[in-house]
Amino acid sequence: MVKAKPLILIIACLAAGLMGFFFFYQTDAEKIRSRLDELVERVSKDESENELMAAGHAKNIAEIFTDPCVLKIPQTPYRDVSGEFSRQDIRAYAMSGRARYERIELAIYDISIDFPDENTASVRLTARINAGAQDSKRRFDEFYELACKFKKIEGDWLINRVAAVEVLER
Amino acid sequence: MSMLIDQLRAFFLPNLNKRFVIRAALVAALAFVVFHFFLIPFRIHGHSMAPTYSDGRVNFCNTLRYAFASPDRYDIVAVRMAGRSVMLLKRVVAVAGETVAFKSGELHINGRKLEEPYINYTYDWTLSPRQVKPEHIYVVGDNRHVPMEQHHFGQTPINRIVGAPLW
Repeated sequence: MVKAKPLILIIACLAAGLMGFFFFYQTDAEKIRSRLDELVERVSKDESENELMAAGHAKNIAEIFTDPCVLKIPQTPYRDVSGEFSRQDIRAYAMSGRARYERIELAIYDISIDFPDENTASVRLTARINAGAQDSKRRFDEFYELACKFKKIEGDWLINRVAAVEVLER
Repeated sequence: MSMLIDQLRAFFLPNLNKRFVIRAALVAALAFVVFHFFLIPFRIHGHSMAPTYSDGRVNFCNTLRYAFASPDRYDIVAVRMAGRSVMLLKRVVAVAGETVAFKSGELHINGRKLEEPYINYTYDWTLSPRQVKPEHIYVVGDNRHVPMEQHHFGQTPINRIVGAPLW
């Protein structure tokens, strides 16, 4: 005859374990989405940010990218960004961009993720960068369709390549 | 009068019986299907189609508009980006095979000036002729007050066309 109490305890432990597993375990796609959420948080800036905070954010932004990485994005708030960049370069661009605008908002929509192999992810998304300064002449509000490539390095998904897709070819 | 009050009460404070719940669920499901697949609500952001469509206005994208037809010249279309959350609203000025050019503020299609009654001011855009590729259309916004470099226009594959504004 099976005793009920130990059996209930075992089932409860198993259930808790399974729930914990599904709660904490992230698939690769979820990890990439988390990375993009981090990027949104780190790029975004409000008026209360000081220089020390800006330097910290710039460093954090650079750490989301591989070293080096390839960027091909025309007409960003900073400048036309095209070529191969080290983390140092990205940090410098991020700093100068943050100095130029008092408020920066990055929003990401319609993320689709594909895995050509287990250490590479192709991501397509729509991004909006909205930046402004107190003198309203400096305002920037653009949407981009971006084709990104992520690489898995030592368990972390990092951005290896970002290219703007030409939706309307002039 | 008491019948009217009873009807109003029944309308605003219905009995939560099985029949009501089923009806409400069906209406919700129908609304989801219609507004997710066929009439996508959107809010206009920006001035590229002013004055035809103003910034901040609300409309619906009719996705069935081009279910059995292709976009034609002068149609206003919604062009998707990576998905449907953000779309570009532009006017079709040329279709596949045609040549598009701007000459000192005049739009020329196949070497002839195109009549554009929705443009009633002068502008100074100049763009050398280029041909619209197969399965593509050429779209431009109605607001050409801005420098050409600041206006997003060009040819796009027809499969990027989600639909057309409902009004």
